[in-house]
Amino acid sequence: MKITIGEYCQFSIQARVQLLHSFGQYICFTIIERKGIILFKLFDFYVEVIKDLYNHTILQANPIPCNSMITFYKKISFF
Amino acid sequence: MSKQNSFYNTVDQIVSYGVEKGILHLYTSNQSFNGIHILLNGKPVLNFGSCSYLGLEFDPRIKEAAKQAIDKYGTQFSESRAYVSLGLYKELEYLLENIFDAYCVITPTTTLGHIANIPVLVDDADAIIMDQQVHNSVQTAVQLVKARGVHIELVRHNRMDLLEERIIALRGKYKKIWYMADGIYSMFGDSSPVEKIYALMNQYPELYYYVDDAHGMSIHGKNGRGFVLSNQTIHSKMVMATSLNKAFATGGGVLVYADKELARKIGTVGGPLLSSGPMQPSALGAAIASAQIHLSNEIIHMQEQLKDNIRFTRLMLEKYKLPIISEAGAAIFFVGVSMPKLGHNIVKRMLDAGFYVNLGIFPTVPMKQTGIRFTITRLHTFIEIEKMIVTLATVFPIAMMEENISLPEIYKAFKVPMPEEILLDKSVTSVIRQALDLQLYHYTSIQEVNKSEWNQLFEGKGTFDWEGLNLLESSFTENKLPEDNWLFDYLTVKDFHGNIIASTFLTTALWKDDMLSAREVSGKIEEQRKNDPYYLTSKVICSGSLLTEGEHFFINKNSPSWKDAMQLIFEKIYFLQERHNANHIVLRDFNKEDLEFDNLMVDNGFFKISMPDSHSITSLSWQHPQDFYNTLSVNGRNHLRKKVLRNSNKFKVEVITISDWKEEIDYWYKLYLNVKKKSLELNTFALPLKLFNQLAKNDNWEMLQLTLNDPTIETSDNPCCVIFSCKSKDTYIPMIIGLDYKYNEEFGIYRQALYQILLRAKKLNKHTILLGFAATIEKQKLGAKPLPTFAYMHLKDSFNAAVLSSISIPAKI
Repeated sequence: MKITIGEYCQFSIQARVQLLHSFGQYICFTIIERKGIILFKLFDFYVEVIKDLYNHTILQANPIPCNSMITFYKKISFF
Repeated sequence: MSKQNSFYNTVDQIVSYGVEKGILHLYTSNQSFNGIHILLNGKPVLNFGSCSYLGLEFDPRIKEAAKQAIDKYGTQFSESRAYVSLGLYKELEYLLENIFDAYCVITPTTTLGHIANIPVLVDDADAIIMDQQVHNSVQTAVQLVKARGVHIELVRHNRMDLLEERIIALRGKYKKIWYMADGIYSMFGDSSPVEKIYALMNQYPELYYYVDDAHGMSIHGKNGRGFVLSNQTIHSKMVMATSLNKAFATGGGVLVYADKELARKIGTVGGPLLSSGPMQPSALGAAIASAQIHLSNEIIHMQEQLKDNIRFTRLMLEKYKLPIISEAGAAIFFVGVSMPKLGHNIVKRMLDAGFYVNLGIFPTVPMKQTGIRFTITRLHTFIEIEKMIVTLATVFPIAMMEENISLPEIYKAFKVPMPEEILLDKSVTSVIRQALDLQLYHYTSIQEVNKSEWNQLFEGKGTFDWEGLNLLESSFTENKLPEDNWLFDYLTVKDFHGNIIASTFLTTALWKDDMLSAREVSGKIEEQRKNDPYYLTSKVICSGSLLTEGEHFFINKNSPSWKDAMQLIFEKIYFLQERHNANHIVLRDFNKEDLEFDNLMVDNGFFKISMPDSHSITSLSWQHPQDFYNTLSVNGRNHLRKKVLRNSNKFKVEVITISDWKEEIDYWYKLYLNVKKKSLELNTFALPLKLFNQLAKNDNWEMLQLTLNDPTIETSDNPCCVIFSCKSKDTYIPMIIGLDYKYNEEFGIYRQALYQILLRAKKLNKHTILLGFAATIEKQKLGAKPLPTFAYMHLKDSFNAAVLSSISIPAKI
């Protein structure tokens, strides 16, 4: 089973997070300007989840369009 | 057995078969469960059958409200609402009116709501047009006004063009025209085209809309007011009924009106609202709590969560290339399997794997459109949904192989084009059959069939030995009228030794759909046929023909391969049904109760129907008429003496073995048409004159002619009765009768004819007389034994059958 980026984008934020928890692979985590950024690999694409660390709310969970962003996140991440 | 009983017996048989297989009528264990995890027979399973789409039944606020209501008011408040209602009703009604932005009446169930609504809403001067698939509870309530003679029609599912045609046709004749439909349909999850219906209501002042939105409640629209009202406010000519028993999660029903006065009136006089018990305090308390959730923003998030689950499920079904039949967007999913046997197999396998899914089977769907129906709720997780669908995708091909059904057959059964990316698997059936070495032979004319082989199987069983079929073929081909042109197919299955395992012949012809309906129904339809001769007629492929009776199927049940042989025959019949464009398949004239055979038929998409009793006389061992007289009961003797023998000398009886005298045959044909006009019990098209010409010159047939020759009365010299009979081996088969009814009552012509048939058969040394259907009492008086007969039927499209059942006959007083 594989979900494409286009199919993934049809879901709401909550459903995207559920998809990542269910089928995604955690890659790394970092904090930028009071926002937690968690990177996941879902099938053959990457997703950045941006979380408001004060309110504990998910602000977005969008696919990352370019590989350079992924490399950047990996370099600055805590894990 | 009445036809209605026959229907219930069929449903009973199908459901009982499912119960026996452990997939229907299941009970949860008496251990607490939560959400979608339930215990069936002590085993934990994931429930994919719940209609509580938002999972609110486990919301602590609703549970607590139910408990508090019990603490305050007890487990029930048992008084009719005509006298006193719990105050909770008022509070709930207020909240519901805020949800719907319309006037509401609360009912204990939606079904009772329909029963309260419809008889009051619909006037005797109104007409009802029901969507073919409108929920059974609406159809049940409509029965109440059917007895008042209200005009009722069915329209094909969601066909707004046809609805408009009918509105135009009916608008001058009836005051209001009620279109009755569902918001979301419970089997395939498709929806009513609400905007188009609103447009029609705006265009035609007579059109009113009655809609049941049970499956749309809570999951659609502002405050969960349902699918129908999700994009528009209630129309002034609309009445809606909906359920609190599904996504609302509390029990009860709501009737919704645009008109305050109408709501008051139904609440005051609606039958069950006057006399049936009220909703229980616990349900009222829970409903208030649920309504408060509906009126908060929380409902939006819940609806969104459910929509994500629905989207994910659809995606998974597509990924795993399962044959989805249901429409996108609904919480109800339907994966097609075609035959019931595949449905049974898959549901059982799913249950064994820990997933409970529903079997969508007849009568809720047509026999050959069986499917796996499952529902998705907000409580399911993506992981759970994916696991269920992976399991379904895994068991699907295994079950298909076991039941010899291929994907192309499934798509074809649902008239859905097969997705291109699904490769056509080589049909496993051919592989299995090669292993068994069964061979099916198919011929389209009796001329191609080996005469002695055929007669060995069928001679003496009816008028369908080789010669008889040759005669039928020459009579029912190359005629002018469509009903007089039949197609013939002969099927025989042999094993590798050349032994015949099964054999039959089929005719495809145009039938009147009301053939077995009550004569009053046929009478009404015949009125319409004066303008439209082919109204409510269908092409039918049937074992035997309209002019043959008896065991048309030879099955060698001593062979271990008989079921496989039948399987080959079924497959061929379904193929021929498509090729001949026939709507129904009727395999008829069975008379031995056989549960194993019944189950085989159900598995292959057939249901059982009762036919009129067939009659035969097998005791022709007497030598003289006096001996025959002595074989009869006291009543029979009295009847014979007073009603038959007393008039015998007033008839001249002739046997005509051959005739080519045109005037004579034309006259016999007129006599036959006299009988035909009166025979609405078995309503068929009249036989063509060409047949009579063929019978009159056929060696195997003879004509028994009765002429009144009593000098005391003025009669014409013309015969008053003719019987065309087949002389087959040891059997005498009178097939067609013609009568002049003028003196029938006075001289008992019909019963005299029966008696003369008996004497003639004896004279020819026959052992058996097959007397066919109808006239049970007359035939029994002469010693005939009725034989209960039944048929197995498959309807490709049940619309005409539903139209027939909707035809109103005012109740007898």
